[in-house]
Amino acid sequence: MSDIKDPVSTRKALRFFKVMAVLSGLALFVLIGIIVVNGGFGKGGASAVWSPIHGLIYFVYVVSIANLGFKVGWSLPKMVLIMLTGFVPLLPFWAERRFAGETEARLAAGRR
Amino acid sequence: MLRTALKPRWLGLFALLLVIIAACTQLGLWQLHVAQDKGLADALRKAHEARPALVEAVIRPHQAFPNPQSNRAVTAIGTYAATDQFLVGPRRLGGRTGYWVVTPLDVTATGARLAVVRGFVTDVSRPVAPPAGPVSVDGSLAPGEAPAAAPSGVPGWPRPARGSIDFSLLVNDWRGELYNAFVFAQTESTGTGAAIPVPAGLERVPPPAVTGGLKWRNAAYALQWWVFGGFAAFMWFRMVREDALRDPALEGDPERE
Repeated sequence: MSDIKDPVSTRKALRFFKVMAVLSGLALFVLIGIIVVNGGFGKGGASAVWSPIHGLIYFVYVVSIANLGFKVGWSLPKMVLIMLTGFVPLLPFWAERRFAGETEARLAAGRR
Repeated sequence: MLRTALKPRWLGLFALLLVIIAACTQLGLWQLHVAQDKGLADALRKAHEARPALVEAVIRPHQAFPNPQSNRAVTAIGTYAATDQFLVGPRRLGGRTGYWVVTPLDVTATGARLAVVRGFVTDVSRPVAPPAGPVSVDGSLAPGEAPAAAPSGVPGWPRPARGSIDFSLLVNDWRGELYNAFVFAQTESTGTGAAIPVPAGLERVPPPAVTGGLKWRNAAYALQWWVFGGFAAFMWFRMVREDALRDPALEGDPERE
């Protein structure tokens, strides 16, 4: 893979990605918590309020992945895979560590 | 850029993109319809809150039940047919198991029969007789119920007990015309307007609560599906452009940036 072309905007995209990964991970936890407390899907109440909000947060997470992915030259399957982590509890946190760490290493290598 | 887009790899992904867009559009439409169904639930709640109307102004005998009129506050004026009263159940009310007391009311204006749920009883040993003479019943309108097996070991009040208010069965037993609707009676009064007290042991059955839907939630889902479809298109476009910019074979392409 080629070097990162624009380190400044990549760093910005990376920050955006890290924030959204943590946010979507937390949003998923809140959603699951509400569903467990309510005792199932479709019971209305708090989950009815939170699930569209969770959907919106997830969408911004997906955008942040694409935004970073295009800048650092990730392949489409890789981007789709990272986007899918948003569906699994805990995985966005792992994705944040794994892929942000990888990008940071490449940025650091480019500076030298 | 167009030449890049026509590469087999991007054409294949374009086919996939079309599938994704079609799926997202359909899923969005589905959520939009759910949102509209919830709109019906809101209409039902409005019907409940509407000014009471005479039952003959809301539904005609034998007419199919008008769904938006479910829970509509109605007034029915007529005479109870005490000899055709029966119990329906078992039902639950406030955590107790008992039976609905259903008494046909011969509506004065049309001569047709309307089933009235006069109340709920836990003690089935003593029949609760309906008031004699002309009565005015205030309550809320409900559609007929699905068939259910009749309970056993329940006394006839005076007719045999039934499992549900099923008009496909009642139409055989009742002479004359009938309404495809029944009323949850809340108050009764005599022909002269004097209130009739609720008989001892009988408890009025509150009309079923209409579960209010949050339409905007499903409308938001619909929007989110469409946004995802649009986003997939953007992803494809971005990737083709990246490829076009990187492709050395297209050096000197006038369309290149």
